[in-house]
Amino acid sequence: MKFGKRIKEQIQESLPEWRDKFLRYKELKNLISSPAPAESIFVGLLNAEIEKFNAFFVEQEEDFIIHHKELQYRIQRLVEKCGDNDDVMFREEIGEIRKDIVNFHGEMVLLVNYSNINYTGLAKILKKYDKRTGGALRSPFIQKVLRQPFFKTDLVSRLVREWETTMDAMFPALTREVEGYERSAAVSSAAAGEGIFRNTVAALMTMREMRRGSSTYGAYSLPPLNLSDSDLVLRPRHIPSPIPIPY
Amino acid sequence: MTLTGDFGFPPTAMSSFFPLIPTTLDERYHHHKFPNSLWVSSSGQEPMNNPVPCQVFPLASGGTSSGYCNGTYVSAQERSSSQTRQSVETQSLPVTNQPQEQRDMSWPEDQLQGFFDFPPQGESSSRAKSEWPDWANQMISVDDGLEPNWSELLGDPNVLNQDSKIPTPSCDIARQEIVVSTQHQVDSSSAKSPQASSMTSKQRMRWTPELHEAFVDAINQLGGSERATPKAVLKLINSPGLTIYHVKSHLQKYRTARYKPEISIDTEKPPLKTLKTIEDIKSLDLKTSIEITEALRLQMEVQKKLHEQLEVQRTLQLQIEEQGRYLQMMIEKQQQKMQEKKIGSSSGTSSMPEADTSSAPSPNLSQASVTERLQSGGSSTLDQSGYPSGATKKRVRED
Repeated sequence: MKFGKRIKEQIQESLPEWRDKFLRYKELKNLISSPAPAESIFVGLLNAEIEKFNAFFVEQEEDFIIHHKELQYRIQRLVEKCGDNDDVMFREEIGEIRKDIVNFHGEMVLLVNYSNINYTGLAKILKKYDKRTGGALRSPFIQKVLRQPFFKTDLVSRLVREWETTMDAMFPALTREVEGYERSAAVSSAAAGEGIFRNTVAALMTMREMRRGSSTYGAYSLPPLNLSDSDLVLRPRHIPSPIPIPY
Repeated sequence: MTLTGDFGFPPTAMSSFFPLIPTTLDERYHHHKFPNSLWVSSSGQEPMNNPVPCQVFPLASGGTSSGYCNGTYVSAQERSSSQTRQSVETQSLPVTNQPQEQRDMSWPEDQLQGFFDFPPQGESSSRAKSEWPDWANQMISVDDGLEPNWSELLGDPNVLNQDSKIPTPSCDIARQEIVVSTQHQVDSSSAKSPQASSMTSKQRMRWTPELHEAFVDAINQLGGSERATPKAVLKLINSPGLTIYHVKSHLQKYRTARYKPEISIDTEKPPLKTLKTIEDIKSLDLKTSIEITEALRLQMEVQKKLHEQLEVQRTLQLQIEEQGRYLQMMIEKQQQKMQEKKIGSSSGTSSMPEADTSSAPSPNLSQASVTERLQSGGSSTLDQSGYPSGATKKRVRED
């Protein structure tokens, strides 16, 4: 039940176009609890879900690849245009680009999260199915899932890391003067990324929940999560509502 | 040191984004029998990143028994067939711990504060560029659904059977079929395959940055995205497996993506218009921009964290499944042996049933103990090897 609630929350916080692309966990669970869950129907539904994931994932990935390139070009053009001028316009444009980079990074991470949460949901639902029917569907089926395109997130992860590296170069070093703004940053960051930030926080909280250790902890369960300094961010239990920054 | 001067954007910067260090690649391929590591990131050092398999789904047509990588737009194909076609992904399991730190270390110290600074890859990137065709040749094709030899992988991270057998596109789509064979099965789950009854047999194209770059080159050669036609682009790219439909849809996406940012760049007005009109005082302007920057930085940190955790979780999930399968195999083997023994001996001895019962609970115990190991292994992965939390801290401090 916990996972069901969590995935629902995730879906609610997710970007609008994504909302119907997630695993229909509840429906599948209901199917399983029906008196005679037919395997063919169940598997058929799962396969349809997998197709949905694959199609969506691959398409998003394609968009990311294009955007990735375009962002590089933009940076290149900006640098060529302004060199290392410190004029206001340059600063604003670089600010714009930084925002785009962070949001782009965020969206890609969310896609990786999408992949993971759907995989996790599948694993769980298969476990429930086997438990209910005494079948052995889980293991071979999950092996198939592991080979699916939506599960292969390596490329997106790679792009994510590349942008992290680039970001380090594009952001000013943390100075003491700058550190003083952290508090206000926490408030405005909710607005800075809007949906993406909220979604990210929701995802992290979900992961923390999932890895807390469940009543049905067993051989196939994940070990507890070890979040260290991110707890600082997650401490406000509620997701901060977007507050408009005075532009 | 100016930015534009030393880094010469187009060739080196681009290759610093997609970089490939073919020498290390070759080295690893030949010596350590690693699967071809594709798309290594911008570090100049031993990258050991998650190597990404080239995702093209095998075509049912033609003599190719497995799909060609879309990135192989360089025509020399003779190498690709002899290349290994393993699941590159599995190599990422033992290796994920390392890339972060190495990448951090590879960044030069001379980063300009507050401005763009792409790492002066210098010679390594120019090297990469010149050897690009070679590397592109080495791009292997589909690795979908390869059955990695998990037990070997556990034992020795370098060993993943590297025979260059031509894989047969098996159709293991039927729902509960277990692909038992070892490495080179191509999973045609999304490819056109007649036996894919439970999966729609759609040919799914998966783009890669390299292929996209070829696409962009073609577009530029043809005079821009408005003038280029799909047919011409397709011809220029010259990548087997790429159809005009793929190009068409990609072109459409490309045009859309270009159109939006063009607006904001071409107009000389700064996007943050209101900021300018309200705040003329430079100090206030600075304060707000710092706030925004810090907000972005914070957002970035949270995103990074999520990503790290996702990768860790994924690794664990893979390990869990792999352990499960391994044990399953062991149980089955043992049961088989028991069966054979039973059949072999004419009279059932008293020792048999005991052996049976003793073999039953032990796998469960083993699986539980495996999970325990994973647990401690998980936390030690986070702490000892310095990934991810160590790496994160490092990155933050470097800020």
